[in-house]
Amino acid sequence: MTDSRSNILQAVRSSLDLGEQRSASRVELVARRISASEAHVQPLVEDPLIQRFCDKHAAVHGTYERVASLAEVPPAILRHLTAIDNPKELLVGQGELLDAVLWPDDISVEKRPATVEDSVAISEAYAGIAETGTLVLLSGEQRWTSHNFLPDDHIIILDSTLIVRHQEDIWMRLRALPDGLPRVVNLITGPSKTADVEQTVQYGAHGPRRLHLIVVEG
Amino acid sequence: MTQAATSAAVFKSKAREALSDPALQQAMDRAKGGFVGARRIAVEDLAEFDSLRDTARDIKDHVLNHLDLYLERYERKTIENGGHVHWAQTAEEACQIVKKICLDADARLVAKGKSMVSEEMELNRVLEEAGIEVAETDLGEYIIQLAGESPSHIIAPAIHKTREQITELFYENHKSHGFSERVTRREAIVNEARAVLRSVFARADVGITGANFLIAESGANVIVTNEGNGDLSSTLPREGEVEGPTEYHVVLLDNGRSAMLAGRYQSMLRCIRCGACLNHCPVYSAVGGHAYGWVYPGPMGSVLTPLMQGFDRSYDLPNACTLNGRCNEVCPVRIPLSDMLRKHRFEQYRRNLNPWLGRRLLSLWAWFARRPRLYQGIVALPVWLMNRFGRGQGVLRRLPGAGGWTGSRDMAVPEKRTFQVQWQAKRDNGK
Amino acid sequence: MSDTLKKPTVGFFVTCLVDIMRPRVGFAAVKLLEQAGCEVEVPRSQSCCGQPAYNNGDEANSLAIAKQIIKAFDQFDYIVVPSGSCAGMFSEHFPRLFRYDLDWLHRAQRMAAKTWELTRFLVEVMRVDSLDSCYPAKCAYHDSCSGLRELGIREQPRQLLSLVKGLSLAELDDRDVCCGFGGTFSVKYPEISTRLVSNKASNLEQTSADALLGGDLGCLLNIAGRLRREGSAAKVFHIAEVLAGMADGPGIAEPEDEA
Repeated sequence: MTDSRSNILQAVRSSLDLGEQRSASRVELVARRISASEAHVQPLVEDPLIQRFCDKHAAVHGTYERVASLAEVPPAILRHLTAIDNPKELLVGQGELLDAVLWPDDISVEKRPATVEDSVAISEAYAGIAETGTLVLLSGEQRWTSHNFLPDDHIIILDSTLIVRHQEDIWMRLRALPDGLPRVVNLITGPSKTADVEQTVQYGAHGPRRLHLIVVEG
Repeated sequence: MTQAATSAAVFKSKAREALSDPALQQAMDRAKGGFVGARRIAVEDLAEFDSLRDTARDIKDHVLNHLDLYLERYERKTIENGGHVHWAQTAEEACQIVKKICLDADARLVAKGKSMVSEEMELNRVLEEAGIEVAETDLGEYIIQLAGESPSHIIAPAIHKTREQITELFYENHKSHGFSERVTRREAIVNEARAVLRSVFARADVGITGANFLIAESGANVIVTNEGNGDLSSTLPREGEVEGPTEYHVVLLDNGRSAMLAGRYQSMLRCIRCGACLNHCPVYSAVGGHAYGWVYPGPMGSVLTPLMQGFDRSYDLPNACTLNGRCNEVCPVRIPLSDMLRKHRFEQYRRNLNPWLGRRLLSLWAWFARRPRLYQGIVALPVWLMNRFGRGQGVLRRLPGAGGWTGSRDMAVPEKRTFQVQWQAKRDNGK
Repeated sequence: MSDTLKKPTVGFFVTCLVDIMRPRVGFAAVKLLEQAGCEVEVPRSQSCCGQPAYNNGDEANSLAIAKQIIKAFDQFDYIVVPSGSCAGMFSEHFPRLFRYDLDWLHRAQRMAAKTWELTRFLVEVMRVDSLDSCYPAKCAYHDSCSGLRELGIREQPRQLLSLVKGLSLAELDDRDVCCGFGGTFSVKYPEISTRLVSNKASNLEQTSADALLGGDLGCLLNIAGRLRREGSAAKVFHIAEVLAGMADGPGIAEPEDEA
């Protein structure tokens, strides 16, 4: 068979000067390396993790509030919506914390994918990474990826016990998911930005202009 | 010969144009603060940076040395996940594959995230010829698409554009979207682009992105972005549908890469397209990306273009380099870029691609250099001549045959006798 | 403590530019080496390190020139070079040139191990800790790219300059950016080269330094040539001249008769 696939693989093998092309030892080597999933050099990330995480998030133009319990979440959201001068309506994604929130009457919530008209969405993060101030969001049933990118404002709620130290820690955990990886894993570090105009950073290129974090510690 | 390939042959004239283009010079100057300054701060902040470079290099080398197995695994996992994998040996083949997917999907509008591979393929041209509208959504790519230009930097495609130029482009092209004023403030420019491109995301039938990494373990693709347009191009549903994309296709392009795996240029395949080499190259900073004639500029482009477009079409690129080595210092995967450029020069010499006169002069020089006694005798002549022309001025403002130097620099006049002559005289006089 | 220490023998590689364009740099270097306690010889069988051939892809001539140099300099304890780029050619590139020729590879490696750029040699091997020269001026030091990146030369010249009475040091902005010489690059791509050297000249002007010093004559000829064309009053010397107290005459690209 001389299709492109074979030609390319053959070209790769002859360039690598592989005598025995798919030798058992090579296959074994690669398979072992993949399954071992060893971490390599990891930067020093010091405790306390929660504050480190929040500081890193703030350094990339994110805002945050640390709250002691789930009950404090709606007031925190209200405060944020007022601060950004937004109507008290938002899209909500699925999550353990979010599903348990008692929404007051003065906030109107909708559970649906985002459109270009929507201005605020709130998502629940799967985890946070202290090393870089990164939030990890997984797509899923009623966890629409469009919430992360279409609205002007994105609010993310995070259980503080889900903050890990290093990037690699996330992948270790994701490998253990019973259903495997979801379609999309978003690692979000700060709001959307661009420096394409005169090499000067502007926020809100296509994704959210503002990223507000509510860290729940109770 | 493609348009791009012809351009690579006119580096000198384009470089000359670039050096006297004030808008370009201003734009390139501005770029240094971020790309060089901000990078330095980030690196200083990360104590492990150098070890991470070693690790990154080793990871890439390992995968390259087992690339066939990793490709097979990646393909298997992607198919398991419900995706399709297509293999293309050439750019043209890859374009035809993408075109067919789009036509089969009845696509009228394609939303594109930034992809250097797609520039290498000249994909937009092929799709547009088939009647498909292609909308670049990365802000920099969008700007140059409006301008009808190619990218001049692999990360910041519109780095050569000033704010004034962008204002004009938007003013001319956004009237149909209901914008009738010139926007001059940066924030307003970005906002206007955001508004215009939103409708693209909403209406697009197909989204196309590149990939920063493909993960063999899981069959995942990874894009690393700042703007969000890559995500919006690849995760939104088609208009009228609710879930995300219903088909997922990956096109793997070879275009000469498997050949590079053999031997001395293999480490060039480690490149992660970060742009650090461009940003730190004094030649690139002086002439910008378009002078390089193809989609990859700066040091990495000077290595790749001869390999991918042909040595005979890109003579200047490996030679327009002082071999200062700053690129090697900043490459995150430790590609020995300046060594590769020198290797290209050896290749050019072997293929006799050098200009005739230069080669003859060098051979003449080498003939003497290999015979030190004769060499020391013969150099007395230029020394004498330069002293004659210099006439005690200490400098020569003009020197026949050395117009390249004396056009803009004075040339020092040597002492009347060389070091060797003086040293021997001292010894002969018993010191 | 060992008995009567034999003076280290140094084979001095002049470099083609010093030999032809500014011999006094060579004499200054020899003076420094002798003052430091070395026995210096200048083999006659030398012309050029071969970079013009090597950097233009001419392998055959690069090899021939290299073999000649290796033979001529075989017998010394050290080989000292008043140039980062030529020293780098010996220590980094000669071994590479001979990678397929085991015999010559060993000889090249042996030579590479004994090759030292002048300022590194004075600081790291001879441990010079005093000089009796003075140069009361504000100086900026230009780091040549090959010296900096191939040989790690940055602190050593500055350390030596701190021993010169009256001399104060200013640092150039963009000091790790190339001056645009690059050997034949300067004449093959003159407009780009001129842009780079103009930037370097303006970096110097911003420091208000009286003089620019450096360890590579190629860079210095380039920068001095541009400074003169721009009408700058700044003087340019090779560091050896200042360290040896031989910088009282005209600088590079200045007329002989001018004080």
